[in-house]
Amino acid sequence: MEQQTFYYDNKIVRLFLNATLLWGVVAFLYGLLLALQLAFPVFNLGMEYSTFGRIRPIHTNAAIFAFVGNAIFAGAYYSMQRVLKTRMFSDLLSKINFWGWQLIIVLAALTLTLGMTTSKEYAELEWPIDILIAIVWVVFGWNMFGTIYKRRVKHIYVAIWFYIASFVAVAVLHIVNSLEVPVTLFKSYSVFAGVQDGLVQWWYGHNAVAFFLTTPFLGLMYYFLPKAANRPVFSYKLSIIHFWTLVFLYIWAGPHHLLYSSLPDWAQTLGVVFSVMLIAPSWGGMLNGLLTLRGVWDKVRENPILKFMAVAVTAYGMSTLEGPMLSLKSVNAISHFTDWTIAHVHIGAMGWNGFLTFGMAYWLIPRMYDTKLYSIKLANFHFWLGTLGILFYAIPLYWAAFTQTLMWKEFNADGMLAYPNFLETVTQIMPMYYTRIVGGTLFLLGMVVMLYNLIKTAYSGKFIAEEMASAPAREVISSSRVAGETVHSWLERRPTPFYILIALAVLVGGIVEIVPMIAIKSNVATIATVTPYTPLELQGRDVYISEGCVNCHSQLVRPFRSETERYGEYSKAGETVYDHPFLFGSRRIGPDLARTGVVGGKMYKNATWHYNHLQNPQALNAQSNMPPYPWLIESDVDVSLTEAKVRAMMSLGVPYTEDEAKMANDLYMNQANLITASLKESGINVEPTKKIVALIAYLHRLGKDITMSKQADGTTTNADSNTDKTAQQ
Amino acid sequence: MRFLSQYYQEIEGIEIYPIIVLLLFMTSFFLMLYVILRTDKKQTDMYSRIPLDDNNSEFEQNNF
Ligand code: HEC
Repeated sequence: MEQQTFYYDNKIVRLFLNATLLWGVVAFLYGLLLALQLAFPVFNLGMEYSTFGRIRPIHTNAAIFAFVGNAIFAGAYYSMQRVLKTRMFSDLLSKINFWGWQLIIVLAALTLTLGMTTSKEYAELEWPIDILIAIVWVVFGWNMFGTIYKRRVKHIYVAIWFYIASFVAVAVLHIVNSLEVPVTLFKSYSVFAGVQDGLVQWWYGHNAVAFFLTTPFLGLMYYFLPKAANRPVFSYKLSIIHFWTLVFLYIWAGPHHLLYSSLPDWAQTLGVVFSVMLIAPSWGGMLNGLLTLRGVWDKVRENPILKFMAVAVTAYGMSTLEGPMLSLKSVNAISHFTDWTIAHVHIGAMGWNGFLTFGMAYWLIPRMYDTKLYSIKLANFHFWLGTLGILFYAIPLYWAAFTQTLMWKEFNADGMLAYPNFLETVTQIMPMYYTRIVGGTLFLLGMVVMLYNLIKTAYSGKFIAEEMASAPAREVISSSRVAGETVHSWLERRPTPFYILIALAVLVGGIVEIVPMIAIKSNVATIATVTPYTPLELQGRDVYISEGCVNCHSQLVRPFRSETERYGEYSKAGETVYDHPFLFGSRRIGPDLARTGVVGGKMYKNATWHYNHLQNPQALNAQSNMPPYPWLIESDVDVSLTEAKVRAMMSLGVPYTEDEAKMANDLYMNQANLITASLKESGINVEPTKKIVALIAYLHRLGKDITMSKQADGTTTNADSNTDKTAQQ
Repeated sequence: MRFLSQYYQEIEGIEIYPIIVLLLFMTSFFLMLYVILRTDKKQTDMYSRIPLDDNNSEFEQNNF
């Protein structure tokens, strides 16, 4: 058969790889800054742009979408060309994919710094950027499908399947979770509210982990691990089973665990079975990776690339065992809102994503520059720095999580909370936060060592921008099944039904899940006393969102006695029906704020207290690690938007009247004047349009509606029939 | 997140979901298993060598 000569495009791979390394440094630096801020609040640097609440989403977005995202593209663009024996479909699309993605990252960093955020985790970016992401993602898919179409081989290697599944799933997740109503160019409200918004967000959040951090990296693993070990993958059949089981099961996993937690026993058992089932394909994949190294363990000992990859695959196995465990309700009751989650994700991010990326970079650069790695010693040194970094990061956090959760839940002999002051539980884990800084520093140092090593390597060689290759053209066979051909080989000769199958496997879970999500809206018991936020409170809520308070404060009191004792009545879904977006939060670095506005409640503080506290928390509690927010006193709310915001809410079904919309700013000023008047009594002079006034109004609203319902009927609670659900925890 | 579950409980017919899921999963899983196990081992061994089959084997020395 005729041999064809063609060229692989290494330039695009190098671009993405450089971006990976650059953004990696940025992501790690931001992470280190966060670690410093939690231990020493001065590192909030006294500017609104650099407080914890704003830096945290930049760190997570940089780590996920900039560092890991570029690594996915680098690895996919390299491996796709080679296993399909063709250049990428279109150099132009490759370039649009690259520059578009970098533009998104820069815009993300800018807008998040400026406090433009939707506050939904890993989906913080505002709507114009969301649209840009969708476009660039489609460009990537287009380029990939075009490349598959013009391939010279018959079989599509399993790594590509993982890329295809990732493409489909991320597209769907991103679009559904980003549905929002714009108010201005950089402000929007989620179309979902409260509990429903929370469900959509966690469906997205869980699967972003699955289909952005896991499946594409499995594709990379199935290509680069065999390459680095110079051995075929242990079992190809296992890799296929791994693929189908994983893509089918993963999408169910997030809300699944919510589903079963208090359903009847038989259903709970089923839920556990499902969680356990997800361990099977994950561990099948891990074993397939590790067993690929069998017979070359002597090489693993001396080859740092294989070392990085072996640890990466092991970390994948650890996280995927821990994940299902964390979703068991008894474990979740103690792990949720603590540093356990943070430790868990970092085993995945630093170990699995980080180490696989490092291994890939050490493997790629010498090859693309036709040279040898500058220093194996330095690479080994990096390996140890990285490994120690992960250990010094994760172990203290597990310790901190257990310490804090036990303190939260401890009662003394009189049946009172043993540590009623939340801050005590923060102070207790400070030593762990210092140790974490060491871990982060080691990890970052390792990265710097790698950069030096790779730059030296690049200088010692010559970049092969166009790598020559040759392969026979693909045979053209009729599209119907040839006699004797298995279903499988027929399928892969004709990729379209294959795509459809993959899409089905991914989507079926999504579709069946969406049904209860929609059903839940009509099932949320409405509470008569819950009314929409006043215009002032609405603006205050947006200040809260913009400053990223949700990154430290939850607004979700769980039905445990340890929580109702500390905060007040547990949260009801009906309270959040006007919350576009929801603000449950995921980590309690500070106390829960859902009951902050309950006058006479455990959490209530007056306006003066909030004013002083927000201005300088350390002045009230020297050990607090909450950042000071003095600029909230200086800067004004943009009241020209008040009416537009109210109207945007109306378009989402929030029952404001036409008059309320028209007089939004009058209502705003009336309420603000009351607050400034009460502040004046304490000798504080502040104008009613300042951000702090709106924020105080919002804080004073939290939980208030529930107490109104009590006063109205004189019963403890009519809001919910599930009062007796308060667990004895 | 546990507080959400009580609202799930109130959705009519929610118990059917896990059963649908389980059936769906089991059917597709066994179908897949059947197809894969029937695939010729020689063929999958060949597939598993795809990443190694570069025609630039001069790179395959141990130049990490
Ligand atoms: C770095 C994490 C962090 C961020 C960001 C943060 N806080 Fe806090 N917050 C804390 C901690 C820790 C405490 C407990 C110590 C204290 O009272 O200062 C606290 C306490 C509070 C309290 C008092 C709760 C009580 O009744 O004891 C309020 C109210 C509060 N924060 C509001 C906010 C608001 C509003 C924002 C955003 C502008 C914010 N916090 C941002 C960590 C944070």
